[in-house]
Amino acid sequence: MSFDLPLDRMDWQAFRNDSGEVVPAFGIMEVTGAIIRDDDVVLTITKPSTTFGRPYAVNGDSEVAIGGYGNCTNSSPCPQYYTSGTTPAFGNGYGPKPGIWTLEKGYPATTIVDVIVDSTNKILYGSFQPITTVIGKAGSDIAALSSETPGYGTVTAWYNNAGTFAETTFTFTGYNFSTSVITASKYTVYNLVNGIWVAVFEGC
Amino acid sequence: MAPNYPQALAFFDKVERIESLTATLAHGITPSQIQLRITPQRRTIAVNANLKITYGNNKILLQDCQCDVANLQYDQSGQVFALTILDRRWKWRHGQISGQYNLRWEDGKIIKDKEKNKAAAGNAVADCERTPKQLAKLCLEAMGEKNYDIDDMPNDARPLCQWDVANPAHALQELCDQLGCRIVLQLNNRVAIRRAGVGRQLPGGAIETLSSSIDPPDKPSSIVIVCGPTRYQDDFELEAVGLDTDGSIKAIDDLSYAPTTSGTYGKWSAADAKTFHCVSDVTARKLALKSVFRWYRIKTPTRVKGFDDPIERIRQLFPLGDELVQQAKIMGTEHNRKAFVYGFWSRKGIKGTTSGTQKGTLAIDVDMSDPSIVPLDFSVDSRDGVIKFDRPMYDQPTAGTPSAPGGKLAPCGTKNRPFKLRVAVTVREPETGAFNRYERKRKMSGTNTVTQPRYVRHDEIVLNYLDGKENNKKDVDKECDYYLDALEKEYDITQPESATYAEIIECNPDGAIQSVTWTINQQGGSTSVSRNDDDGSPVTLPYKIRRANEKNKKAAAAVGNAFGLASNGKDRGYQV
Repeated sequence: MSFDLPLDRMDWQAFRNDSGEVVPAFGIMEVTGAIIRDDDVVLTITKPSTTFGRPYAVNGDSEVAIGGYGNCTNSSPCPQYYTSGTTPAFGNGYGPKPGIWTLEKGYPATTIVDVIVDSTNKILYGSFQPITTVIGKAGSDIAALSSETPGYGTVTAWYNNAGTFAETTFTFTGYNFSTSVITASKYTVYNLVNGIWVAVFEGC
Repeated sequence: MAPNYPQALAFFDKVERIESLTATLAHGITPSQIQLRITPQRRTIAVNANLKITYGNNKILLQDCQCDVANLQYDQSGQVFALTILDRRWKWRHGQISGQYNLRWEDGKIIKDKEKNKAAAGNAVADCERTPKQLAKLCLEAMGEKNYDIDDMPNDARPLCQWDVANPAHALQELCDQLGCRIVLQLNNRVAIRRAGVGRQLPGGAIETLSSSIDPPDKPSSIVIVCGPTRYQDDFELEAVGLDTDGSIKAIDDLSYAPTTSGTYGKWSAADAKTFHCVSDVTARKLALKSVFRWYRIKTPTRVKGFDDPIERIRQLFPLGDELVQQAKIMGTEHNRKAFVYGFWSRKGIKGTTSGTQKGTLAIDVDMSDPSIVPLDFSVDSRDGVIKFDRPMYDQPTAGTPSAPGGKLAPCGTKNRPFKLRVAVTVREPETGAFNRYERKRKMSGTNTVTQPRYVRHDEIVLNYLDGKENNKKDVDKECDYYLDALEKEYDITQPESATYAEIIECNPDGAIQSVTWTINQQGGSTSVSRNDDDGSPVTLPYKIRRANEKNKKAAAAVGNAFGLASNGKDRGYQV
C-alpha cells in the first residue's frame, strides 16, 4: 500500500513542547497557552493532565523534542495516535486520557473514528472536535442557584468503559443553574456553555 | 564578304532608343541587373515592363522587370541616361512566411503526430515534420511563385526551420545553402532549385574567347558534423539543499541558520518542517520555509552512464532539463516522458510495511505506479539545477520515541535510503564548460594536406544515451550523412569555364551554368557564360559576395525591426 496521509490539506500551527517529554508523532496534546513569536502565534502544550476542559490538539508526523518546536492541528479529520490494545471502529468515540499521549476508547471524545490507517503504528483517521459534553459526578453536593449566583463545585469526569461508567480522573468545575441541589453521588451531564461546564441533566 | 550577322536589339517598354545594354542572369535571390544606356526620352518610361532582347531567331525575355535608377550622363555622343533595371526577383523582397518545422524533442527526435486529425488543440508544433521539397514549396508559394521546379532537390534531410514573419526568399536561400542547392531563375520564367555543380556544358556557338581554369577548392582534411549536446538518461542521487541568507544554495546542514545541535540525521532532525520555529531569526526562518526539505539537488561528484569521466561539479550538468530520453504516446502524439523522483521518503509518519515497498533502484521500463515513485509534481530550476517540491520532502528512517509511528526527520537520501532523480542530462567539460557533443566525421578524399577539420553545427541532431548505451546512433549517423553529402559536394573539383560568344544566345542558367551576361553595343551583340563559377559581371557582384550581402541585409533588417526603423524599400547592396 502506498497511502500518503493527506497532511497537506490540514491547517498546521506551531507549538512549543513544554511537557518535559518528547511528544510522539500524532500524539494528543493539551494546549496550555499561546505566545507571539515574531510574526507567528505559537501554542504551548503539555501532556494531557487531569485538568479537564482545555483545548486539545494533535501533533504532526514527527516527534518533538523537549522544549522544541513542532506543528499541530485541530483540523478535522486528521490522523491520530491511539492506545495499543484497542481496535478503533467506525463511529467509536476516542479521547484524551490524563498522563498519556494516545487516544483512549470511550474517554470524553475529541475524535469519532473513521478508519484505522496503520494498525502497526496505531494510527487512526477520524474527525477531531472540541469536547462540549461530558458526564460528571460531583465530589460533594453542588448548591442550587441563589438569586443570580449559580452553585459550583469540583466534578470528576466519567467515561463509558464497555457499557460501565468508569472514572477518568479528569476534574473540572461544574456549575449548577437549577433551583435544585446536585447530589454528589449522581451522574450528571455537563455542557460547555460560554466557557464553563453547566449541569444540564442529573441522573435519577 | 563579311558574314551577315543578325542585328542585336533590346526593347524595354516605350524606350525609343537603347544605345547599349548589359544584362546578367545569375543564381540566387538577389535580382540581377540590366544596365541600359538610352537617349533622353520624350515619353515617360514605365516602372515595370518586360525586357526583350532579339537576335535573329533568338529571343531573351525577362518579364516583370523594374526600373531602379536612372542617371543622367554625358559622353561623346552627348547626353545619355544610364537606366538600371532589375529582373523580376525584385519582388522577392516582399512577403512573409511563418512556421516551425522539423522541431525536435530534447532528444533530437522530430515531433510527430501520426494521427493528424487528432492533433491536440493548441499544440502548434504537432506534426511539424516536413521534407526539404515541402519546405521549398511553402517558401516558393509565399514568394508568389507558380510552376516552379523542385524535382532536383535532395529530400532526405529534415532541416530545422523556425520562421517567424521571415522573408520567404531568404528562408528558401538558407534551406538551399544547407542542401547544396542553388535558386535559379530560368529564361522560361520558371524558378528552379538545382543541385550546385550539376548541369549542362557550355553551349556551342560562335565562341570568341574561352577560358578554362582549375580552381581547386580549399579542401579541409575532413568535415565534421557537430550535433547538439548529447543527452544521457540516468538516475542521480539527490541531496537536500537550502537557500542561505547570502543568496547561495548550500547543503542544508551547511546553511548559516541551520540548528546548532546535530543528531543522527543531521541538524534538522528535530525541525518543525511546516513552520520552522526551530530557526530563531525570522528572516532565516522564511528562507527555511521556502527551501529546507523542499529543494534538492543532484549530489556531486557523480557519474553519468555512458560518459567516461566523473562529474565533479553540478554546473557540468547545467542547464538541467525535466524530461527523459524515453518517450510515451499521449493522445496519439509521441512525447518525451517527464523526469521523476523515486526512492525513500516519509509516507507522513507511517513506517513499516508501507515504506518497505519503496526501493532505491528501478528498472528502465518502470511501471509509473510503482510506490517508489514520488507522486508529486516538482519543478526544475534549470539555472541552479534545483528540484523544487511544493511541500517538504523528508524521510523518517527510524521509529519515534516512545515507539511512536513517526521518528526524527532526515533529509531524503540519507542513511542508505536513496532518493533519486531520473532525468536526461547534457554534460559540460569540467575545464571549459563546453558541451559534450557527438561528432560525425568524414575524411575528405583526394587531399594530402593536413588541415583542421571543417566543423558544421547541427544542434537539432542529438545523440541519446539510455542506460549507458547509445539509443539512436543509427538515425543520427544517417541524418549527419545527408549534410555531409551536401558539404562534400562543395569540394568537388570543378573546372570553372567561361566563354564569350559573338552573338546573343539563349542560354539558361542551371546548377552548373551560374551566370549568363548579354551585351549589346555598337559592336553588336555578345553573350558571356560562366560555368561552375560566378565572378560577377559588369553589372553583378560575384555570387559569394551577393550571398554575403544578403546575409548582412537580413541581419540589418532584424536590427531595424528590433529598433522600429522603417525601410524605404530600396536595396542597393547588390549594386556594383
